[in-house]
Amino acid sequence: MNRPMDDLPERLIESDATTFERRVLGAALQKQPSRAASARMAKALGVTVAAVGTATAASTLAADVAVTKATATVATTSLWPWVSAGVIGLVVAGAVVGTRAGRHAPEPHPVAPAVSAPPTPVPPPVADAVAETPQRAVAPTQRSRAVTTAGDLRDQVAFIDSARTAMSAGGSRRALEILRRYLDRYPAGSFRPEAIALEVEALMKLGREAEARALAERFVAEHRGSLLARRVADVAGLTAP
Amino acid sequence: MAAPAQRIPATAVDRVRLERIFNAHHATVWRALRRRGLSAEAAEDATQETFLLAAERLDDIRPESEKAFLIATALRVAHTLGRKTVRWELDEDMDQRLSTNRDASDKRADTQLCDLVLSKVDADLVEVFVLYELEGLTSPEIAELLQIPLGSVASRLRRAREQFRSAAARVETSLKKEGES
Repeated sequence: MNRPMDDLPERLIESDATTFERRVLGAALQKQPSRAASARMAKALGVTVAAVGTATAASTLAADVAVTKATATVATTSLWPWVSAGVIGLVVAGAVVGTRAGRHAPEPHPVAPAVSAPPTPVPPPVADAVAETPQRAVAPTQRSRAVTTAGDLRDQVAFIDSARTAMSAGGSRRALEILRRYLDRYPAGSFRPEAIALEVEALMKLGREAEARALAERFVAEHRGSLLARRVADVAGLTAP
Repeated sequence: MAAPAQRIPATAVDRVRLERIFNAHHATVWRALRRRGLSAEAAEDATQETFLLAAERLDDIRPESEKAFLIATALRVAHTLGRKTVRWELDEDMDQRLSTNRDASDKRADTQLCDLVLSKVDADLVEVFVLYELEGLTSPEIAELLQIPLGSVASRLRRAREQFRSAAARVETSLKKEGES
């Protein structure tokens, strides 16, 4: 790790700590909740506990996501709250798990699943979960055509987060650049519908209405009947699908 | 306060982000709460509450400040539970157990060593020390989080280091003496 960007000295563990001091400092980081406790907390939040080692990767991701330095504010008219029908099941399944997990509730597995069994199989939030629970089928939607690795998915989320952050901060042009890079890199990406929906919104905000409408029309044709298609049509000023 | 089910993020990507930050930082949040003297069970509940609060404000959390946001939220949660000061917990018989369980390969012994050394650092200094040296926060983040001036962060860290290194040296010397006897 590099020296932190402030006026404090290098961290002890990275500079002149003795062997004994390193041992003590290292031990402090060994203090962690048990796997069962982590699983209970994750279950209550409707998320999945990652495999060991993912935390480090995720921490690295945070730095990657910081590609946009803009401060996020809530976008009141964003398309973002709308999701495609393909992921509605995931959202609903997560929401029904929102009750706080009982501490002494029996845990069927060391790592609790993120959601209770959904009525139809849906993609797990991260690919790590796929690796841990191979019996969970990926939804038979067009999103499942591409084989997605954990790194891919994290990268995709970073793209979408960054675009959304840029959009929230009024950086529609920046958001558009990020979204186009995402769509180039992941032509069959897991968040392609959301990326295109955001692209429509960005184009409208930039005053490029003809492009936005053309894109929206294609999107609506491909996703006819979905909530996201209706929202895209609304943003682009199309007749409701 | 809304029920937990209503506080879960409404979009799939938000939930993926929540999952990512949970996996990256929940142990850090839990440790921060334990340092405030919460029991393991209370820290678990407070960690959960911290992430529920974060879930409600995901849009406001800058990606580069996720850890600092979570720790700040955790400290506010701890504050509402009446834990306003840091207390590095040390079992009463720690010194005695240490002398009979100090195998270098024994993680438990190392954890006990850590508790023993950090318990010797003043309560008003240890939080700055841990946040900087172990959790990797920057001084502006610590200043904002603890509501103290930047200069105070630097001075507390300097004094905390002196106390930490002094305590570590004493404990190490003590262990060596016991090993020779």
